Amino acid sequence: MIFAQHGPSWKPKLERLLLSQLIDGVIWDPREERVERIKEIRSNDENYSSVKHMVDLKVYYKQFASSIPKRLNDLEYFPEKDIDRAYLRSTDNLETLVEKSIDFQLGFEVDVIMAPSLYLYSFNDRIVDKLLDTWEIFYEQLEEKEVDKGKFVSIIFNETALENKSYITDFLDDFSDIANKFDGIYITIDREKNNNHRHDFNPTRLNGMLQLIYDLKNLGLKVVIGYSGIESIVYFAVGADAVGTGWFYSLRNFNKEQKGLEPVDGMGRQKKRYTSMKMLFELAIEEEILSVPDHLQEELYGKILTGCELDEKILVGNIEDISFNEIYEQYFESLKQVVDAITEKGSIEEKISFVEQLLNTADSNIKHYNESETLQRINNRHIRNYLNSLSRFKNDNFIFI
Amino acid sequence: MEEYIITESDVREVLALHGLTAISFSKLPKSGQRQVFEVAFDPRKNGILKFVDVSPYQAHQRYAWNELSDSELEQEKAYEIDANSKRVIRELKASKKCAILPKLEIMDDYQIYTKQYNHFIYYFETKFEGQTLDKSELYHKEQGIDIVLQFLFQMVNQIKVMHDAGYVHRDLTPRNIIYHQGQFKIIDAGLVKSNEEEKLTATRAVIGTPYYMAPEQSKRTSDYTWDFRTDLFAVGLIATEIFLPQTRYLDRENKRDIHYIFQIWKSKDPSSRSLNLFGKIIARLAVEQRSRRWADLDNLLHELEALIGKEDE
Repeated sequence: MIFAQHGPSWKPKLERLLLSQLIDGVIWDPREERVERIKEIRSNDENYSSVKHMVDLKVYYKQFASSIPKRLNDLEYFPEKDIDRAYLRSTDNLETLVEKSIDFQLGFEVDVIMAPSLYLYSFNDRIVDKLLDTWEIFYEQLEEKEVDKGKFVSIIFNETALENKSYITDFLDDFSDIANKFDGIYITIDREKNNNHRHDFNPTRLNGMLQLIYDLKNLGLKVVIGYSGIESIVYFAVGADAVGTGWFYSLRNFNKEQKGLEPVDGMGRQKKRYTSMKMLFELAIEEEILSVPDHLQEELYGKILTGCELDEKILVGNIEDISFNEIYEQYFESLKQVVDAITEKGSIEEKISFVEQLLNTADSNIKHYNESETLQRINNRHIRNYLNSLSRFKNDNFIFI
Repeated sequence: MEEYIITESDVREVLALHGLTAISFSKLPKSGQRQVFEVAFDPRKNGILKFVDVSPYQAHQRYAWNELSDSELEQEKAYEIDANSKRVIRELKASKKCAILPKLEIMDDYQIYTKQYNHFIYYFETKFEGQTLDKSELYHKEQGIDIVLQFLFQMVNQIKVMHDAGYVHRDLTPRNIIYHQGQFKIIDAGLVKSNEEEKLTATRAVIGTPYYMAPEQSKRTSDYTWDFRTDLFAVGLIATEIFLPQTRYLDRENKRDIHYIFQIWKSKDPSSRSLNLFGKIIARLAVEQRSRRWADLDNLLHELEALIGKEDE
């Protein structure tokens, strides 16, 4: 399943995605928009009622003193005090936070109720115990209120936390004692910014993430990963149920600086990109597609274009005639083609095998592109890293293909 | 204070106390604190009579070392007998609640037998036909994956029955499993405990047989919530021993290194059914990380059935 990750200038984009039936739900961000406006638009467009709704509560903004909470400050559940050790020591604070978070979500008419999450730098952070306490309180309150909706816990952690598997194991061992009380988990990874490749993922960390997803699935939970991009396909390969992704790169890759948790410089100009699932890469349309010499176009376009509505305009070749909203839609269309094909597979062996084929095809297509007389070169480092992570994952878990 | 060995005349005395007439009885090997007799009442009716020693050895030892006065000795003796008895009574209670554990019979409840300074709890228990797994022919011969699958399927079913009754065994070893004509049965509920009882009687003592013990058994806290995954760990190790007898003599570290075991497993039977059994089942039983063990017994049984079914096909 693909959830739209709610973000800036959302209304026309969500309308297009809903109309084209490219999403299964929306993960709302109350930091970005007034709740009343969201409610009003939802109530006036029946397409919204055909998909699932969740809210990313984002209370972790209160863990960062210099963060920019925007509209979160206007919401009842968002704590006035900073979430620090003193705050977390008080069970009353946790109970109030949970209670108000539940009430907010019930008023928002969501399909699953999410527990507040805390930001972890590492899985052995002291606040892990408090996070688990919060989840237990969350469960108790939902039982008391007899809320008949899916119960999801939620977690956000720094990408580097994925390097230490023994800390993750300790966390999972503790969580496994209460995991059967919940239906699912929503995960956000705070990705490192020093990454000059849009799709790359350090293979050790990605392997840690794949193991985490697999272990959570084996605990009987639905796993939803927010703020994901093309790497989603490897998440689905190991059993993830859904990802949250969006139109802007910042909605496909959570970074705490970009997300106003820490100060950041301004961002650069946005490029129009075509998402090629044949290359598993978002190619800059002008520089990397339209620049292909005429005599190579037939051959190379066949290795780039994936049968989306936008393909016609690419073939015509006028960049001015392609709007940003069209490229956002093409991203979802292209991702959905592949995600649907993976989730149709019954076993993990079939899923992994299918994704490995996709990766090998993409690798070969990129190599072919790079060996042709093109002006640009496409970096396929991410493909190698995805394959490497999957290979280690199979070995670690005795998955034979 | 010396350990007291129950004699034939003690058995006759106990039987007479309850108006029971036996045609014969014989002594079986001692099992821990239990002295065991097989009693035949008629050619078709046998029972197992167990005497469990709950004597206050420590109190007498401390008295001998002048650590206790006469009056303190009496107090300490009573306390120790009571503490020792609780464990036995807990086992008997569990047996009543868990359909798969040996049942009390002939007498409705346990009784107390005192001989000089020694105290025993005694009771009659269902006799299971067969031998303990470690002494069985099956365990001492090379076995294929079909036997492993049968073992796992029966054990997991019995663990499920215990789980449904709120109990965890915590001491599954080849000595605590009886094998007879294709049937594996869990016996000796000595460490069976419900989580409710754990809260009432928590101690820091190490529980279980170290070689088969799940890692969490040595680092538990007093409020630890036990679940069936602790028993799954031991079942995974024993299943591996049935298939790969050489793993019985491995040091603890190698025995618990799932990738090391896999190499031996694969070299014995590299068929896809065998590798699937290892990858899908064994690797999620005999794994030290509790969160990686099967969290749903029904799903585990379903997977085992599928693997058993593949042979039938």
